[in-house]
Amino acid sequence: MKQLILLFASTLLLVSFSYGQQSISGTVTATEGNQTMPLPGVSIQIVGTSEGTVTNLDGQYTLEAAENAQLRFSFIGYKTQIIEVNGRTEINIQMIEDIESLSEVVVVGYGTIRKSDLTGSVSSIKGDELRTMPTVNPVDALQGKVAGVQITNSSGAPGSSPTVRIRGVGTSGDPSPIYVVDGVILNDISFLNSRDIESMEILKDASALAIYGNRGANGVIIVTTKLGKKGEAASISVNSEYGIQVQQNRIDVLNGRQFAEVVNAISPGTYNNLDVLPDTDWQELIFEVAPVQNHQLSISGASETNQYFFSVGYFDQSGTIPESRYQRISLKLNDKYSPKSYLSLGTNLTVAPFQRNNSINNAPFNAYRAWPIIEPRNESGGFNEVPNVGNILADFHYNTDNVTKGVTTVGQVYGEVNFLDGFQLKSSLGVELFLEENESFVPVYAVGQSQQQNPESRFSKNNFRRASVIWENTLNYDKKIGESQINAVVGYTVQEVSNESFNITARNLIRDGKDFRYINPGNIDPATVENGIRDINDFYNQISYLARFNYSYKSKYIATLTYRRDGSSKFLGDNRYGDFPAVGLGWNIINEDFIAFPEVMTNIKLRGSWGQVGNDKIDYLAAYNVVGNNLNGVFGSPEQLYFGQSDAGFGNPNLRWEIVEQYNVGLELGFYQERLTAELDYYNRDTDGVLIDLAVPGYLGNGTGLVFYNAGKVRNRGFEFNINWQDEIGDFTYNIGINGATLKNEVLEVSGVEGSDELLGSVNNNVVSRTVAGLAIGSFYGYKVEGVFQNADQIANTPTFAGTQPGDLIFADVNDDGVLNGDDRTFIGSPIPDFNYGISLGGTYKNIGLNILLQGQEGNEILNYKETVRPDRYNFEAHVYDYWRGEGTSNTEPRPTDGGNNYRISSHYIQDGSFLRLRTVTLSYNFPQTLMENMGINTARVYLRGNNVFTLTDFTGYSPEVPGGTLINGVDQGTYPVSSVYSVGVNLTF
Amino acid sequence: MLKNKILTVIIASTFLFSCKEEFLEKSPQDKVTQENFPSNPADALAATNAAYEVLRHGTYHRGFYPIDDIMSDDALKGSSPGDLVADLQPFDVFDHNVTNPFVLNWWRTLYTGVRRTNVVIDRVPAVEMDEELKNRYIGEARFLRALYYSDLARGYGGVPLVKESEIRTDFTRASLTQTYDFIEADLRQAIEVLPEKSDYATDDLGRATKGAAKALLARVYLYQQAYDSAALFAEEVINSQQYELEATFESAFREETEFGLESVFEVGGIGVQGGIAAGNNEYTSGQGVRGTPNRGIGANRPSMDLIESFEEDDPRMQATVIFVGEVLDGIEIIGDSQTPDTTANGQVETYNQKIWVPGTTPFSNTAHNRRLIRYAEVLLIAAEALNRNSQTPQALIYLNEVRERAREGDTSILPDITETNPDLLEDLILGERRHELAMEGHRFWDLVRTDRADEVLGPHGFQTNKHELLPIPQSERDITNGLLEQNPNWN
Repeated sequence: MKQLILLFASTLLLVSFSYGQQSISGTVTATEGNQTMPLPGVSIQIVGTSEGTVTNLDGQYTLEAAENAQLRFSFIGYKTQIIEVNGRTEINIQMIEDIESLSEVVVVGYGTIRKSDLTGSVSSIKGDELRTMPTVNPVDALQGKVAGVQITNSSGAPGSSPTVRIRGVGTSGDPSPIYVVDGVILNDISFLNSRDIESMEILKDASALAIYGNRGANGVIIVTTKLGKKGEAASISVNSEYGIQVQQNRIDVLNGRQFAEVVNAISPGTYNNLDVLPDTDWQELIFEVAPVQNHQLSISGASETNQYFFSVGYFDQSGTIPESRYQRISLKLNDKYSPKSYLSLGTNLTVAPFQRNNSINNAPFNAYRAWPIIEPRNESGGFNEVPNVGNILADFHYNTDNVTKGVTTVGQVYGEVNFLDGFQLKSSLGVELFLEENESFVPVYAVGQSQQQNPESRFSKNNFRRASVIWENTLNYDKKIGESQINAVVGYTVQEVSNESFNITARNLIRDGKDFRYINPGNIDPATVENGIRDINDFYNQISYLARFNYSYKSKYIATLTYRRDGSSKFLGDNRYGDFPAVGLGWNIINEDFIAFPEVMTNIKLRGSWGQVGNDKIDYLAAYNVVGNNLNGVFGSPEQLYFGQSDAGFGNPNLRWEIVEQYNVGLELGFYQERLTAELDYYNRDTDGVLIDLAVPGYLGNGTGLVFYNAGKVRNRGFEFNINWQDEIGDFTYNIGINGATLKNEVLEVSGVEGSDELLGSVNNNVVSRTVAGLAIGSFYGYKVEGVFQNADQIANTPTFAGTQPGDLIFADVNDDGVLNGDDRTFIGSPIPDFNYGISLGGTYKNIGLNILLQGQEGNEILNYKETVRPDRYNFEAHVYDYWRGEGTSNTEPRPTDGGNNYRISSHYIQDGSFLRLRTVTLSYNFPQTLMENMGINTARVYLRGNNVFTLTDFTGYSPEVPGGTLINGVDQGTYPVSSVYSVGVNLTF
Repeated sequence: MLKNKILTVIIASTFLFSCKEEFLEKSPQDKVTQENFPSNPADALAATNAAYEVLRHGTYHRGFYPIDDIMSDDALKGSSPGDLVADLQPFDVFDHNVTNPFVLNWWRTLYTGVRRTNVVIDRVPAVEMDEELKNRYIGEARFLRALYYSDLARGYGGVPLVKESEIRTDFTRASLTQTYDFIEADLRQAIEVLPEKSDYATDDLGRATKGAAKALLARVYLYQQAYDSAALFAEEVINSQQYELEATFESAFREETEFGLESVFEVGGIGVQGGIAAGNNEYTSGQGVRGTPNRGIGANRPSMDLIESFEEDDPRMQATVIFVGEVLDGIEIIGDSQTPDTTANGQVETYNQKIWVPGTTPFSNTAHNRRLIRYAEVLLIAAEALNRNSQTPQALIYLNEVRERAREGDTSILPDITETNPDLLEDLILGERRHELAMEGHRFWDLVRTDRADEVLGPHGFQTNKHELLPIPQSERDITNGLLEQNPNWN
């Protein structure tokens, strides 16, 4: 403090000796969150001269200027301010974030572009918004935040990833988007710690996607990881979070007594003394409260020539069923070294080792089906046999010695050269290397006489490797020439992808212990050893050429032309190369002179685009007819094995790209200094030549094998909106956001296996969906139920299936031909929601903040398939107890049976899948800076958070988030459900 | 200067790199393509072997559980009362429907067999190799193709006749006559080129023989009531001096008689872990003793009706049926004790003894060889056809040959049959078939082809003009957009 006074005094002294000139000093600050922070690196220029300075690490500056000079304070991302000196010697400035965003830069494929010059539909999610869920996969955080992006978290297994759909479903193969992490193209980002991510950009329309050509069909999520900003002081950040997961839901099933009564109704006299029957609640036996924790330590900063970010993280999630756990360590090192003004070299590296303990993921399904009249254990402590499903506790006991260990390494080295004026040449070499090793051991055991037996101990080891190398070379040009702004890129990329697994299994290990998990010919009968090397489904190369030209005139009129040509080894002959063009146009109406009330309207932009992208996500063998091995013959006395080979499966050499043609119209609006913003988009997305793997007629001898066809055309169209309001009232700041997207999915054409105009989705050979022109893809297909037969007369006067009795479901004779048969199956529901939405509410008062995110969907149905699986006797859902017991007793619940017509796929098993879920509620407290300063802490924040706290839905399963495919979508086959999570966390920076 | 040098190097290394088209040529890994197969004698042999492989699949054996026996009066669903109720039980009471998975599995598996045989018949001729061996391979494939189609014909009626390995999807169903004509043509060509059983090396036992082709042809003619031809080919087999009956009925199904005197066509199996690829024959796993000893799932349970129909003290009854409490090969049969002993309504816990395999290996690894055509069947085909052809004396000789073996020297039982009235004799021959061939998948089709099904199976739910055939699986009709017509009265 003394020094400061001295400095101040000497400054005053200097001032008195100058004439006209005076020394001015001060501190530049900015608010970040609720904190006022010094802002280093701010440029301060004396208007009309080339003289100026920048603030130091503490945000302080000093310069000489005339009494009547004007100072321009500028820093990227903040509003530039021009201040009159007016004879002052100390000028402290608070910089204001430039929420108009007109100079905001958006990451797009192979470059960045000013948001105002963007013609495509791109959503950007930054910072803390990415860290609202304690899950392994950062993409979970997008749930409910981006219009048109549907994230479905259908599995509670630790370490599992959600399904992601951008703008509906247009394909059957894999409708997931691709991820581009710092330029490396990947299919999954679950290896990334969300705290290492700077921003995620979601590319939705053709103008944005075409630069990714044959990968762009289902959307692209660009992930940029953190890097210290030039001029930023080194800062250390510690983040720690601990939570518990609770599975609150139970499916209402019959108790022991009710089960026995229902069975007696099926087979009279089976249970004669209902009072002595046990009543086991299997669901209570399998679910447990489980911890989840996530910690991260990072260091970030920059010098004049070097920018860096380093972090180490640890994620640990146990499952809500026993013996399941996922642990991940993530190491991140990003560095960019710029030894010359024109040259930079950099590296982005993530190494993420993980370990997954695999449990019995269908345990919840088995608990749902297990007979409640069986005690889990007998008097002597052994496991009781549970008919048809097995004893789940025995499964946990014997069958969970199954661990997967692995490591994901994603790395990239790059060089950038800036030359001439506005040119940048960049070459980057990226590598993805995924290694995984699974070990499982099953001891000798026997629970029942004919089930859950393992007569010989068995040890398996399975190694998997996936390697992808991508080399990208781009030449960018970014320059303002007069009124024209040009931003262009041309590039050339090659990629090689391969994966392979090696597995080995042996039986009768000499000891059960972990020390004997080796396959040693000295210890093990070589005849019990099975092994093999397989290549899985990725073994392909790709070459691509790309170009984009973005032109903006007077910041009013914008045009973007994009083109990419891809060649992929997955396709043969003339179908090998694909061309993907796009055009985007934009008009910043706000910059026109005729705009009135500029104080009210702060942004008006209209944009539109058209283009084509492709999808190549199919098995690399799909185009080939291959010969199957090991179709051996057995001959001779004594019998010997003779090698056999023959046609097995067949490919489709005529396969071509799926082509998505999309147009998009968007309007962006801003009012009252961007306090109110709105973004509206309408799109139409047609996928042609949809790649679908279809069952083929049995007479082709393909068994259960499926064949890929370009089998149809699907349209997704919808309206997306994102409206946000933010304001402050005294110390209270708040924001309200609502986003939503309508979706109409319609099949335009089906041209599958010759002669067929429909696509069927089957589960265990049971047709559950039918895709035909005019309906949504994967629409449920079955009989329409019109009640329950009350008496024999009614049956006699109605077309029925053989064996129909009073108490059975009445299936509608839909085609009115007087005969009930397969032709009477009809549309009974759609798995695709009409409307997805998210509502976010946030408020801070002084140091306390509260954030709430609600997410929901409307208008989809779920097929409760798990209830229809009846090859055997299982426990029943509770509603079955209200079964038909004679004329007039029920017109909705049929008589109970173990199988038969009542279990045909019908509207009886269709339920409304709409829901509204409280995704996140966070209550946080920021410690006052004054308190922290003495401890050397810059910021300190603690919070309490709940995820998936409640769900409003009519669906009777664990969770309305049911796994989604395409032809088999929204079919609940029994899931390991996601749970509620309650966490406490702390964030510190030094 | 430095700047320019770096630039030059980078531009040169990036944009002057020219990618060769070969970069996009990636062949399937570890997979031969069908276009290049078979291309040498080893391939031709492998393709022929693969055509036999289907015979060891559980689903080949009438949909894994012998649905045809269960449909007959000889067998019940079996297993424990709650097991397989939805999909297998219906066959017992003729309540099965168009979506039944076993109906689909059997159809798919038989056609998988057809496809493998087509690969040999279509593409082996172009392979440069020993002509005699080549012809034998093709003959084996023709026999197997006929075998697969003969099951399709009796199971489903006239079916799509897929004759080439090329993929086409516009097939419709051929008539039953066309289907049988096709089968007969294959068998006649097979007979021309196949060696007799005794001409094969020991290592090749189990391959199709001239005798097997003739026996199958006789059976196919019998099903068409073409008794002349049935008798002709059956007697050719009898007169070939290749076959005899085993000394005892019981031993004809045991390990010691594998590929033995009585075996006309037999499917081998190797009992090691590793599934079908390792040589397992899944035939027994669906039917073996359930519980203790744990030899199978216990489906296809011999019925009281069958047990009681045997002539007094016919040793074949005990050799066909395993009863609880019996001791076999020193192993006491305890069963799973879940079946209530409700002898009153015709059910006791029994198992099929013809597939009995002693030992403690897991039941899925059984080595049991399925005798698909036994010499006893050939004799009975001859007897039935000759009787129909008014050659009753000769018919009686063959019939009594079977009975003589069955009585095992005990002259107090199973006396020779002397009936000469052809109609009465036919009843006796069919009765003999029931007892000699019980649980081997003949009874249901015998009842259907002799128009006795309504009388015998009517009480079980059999409907004339419907249940003679299985339905065409609904999913097959769906996929082909209705090009495959459904069988009468199925919906």
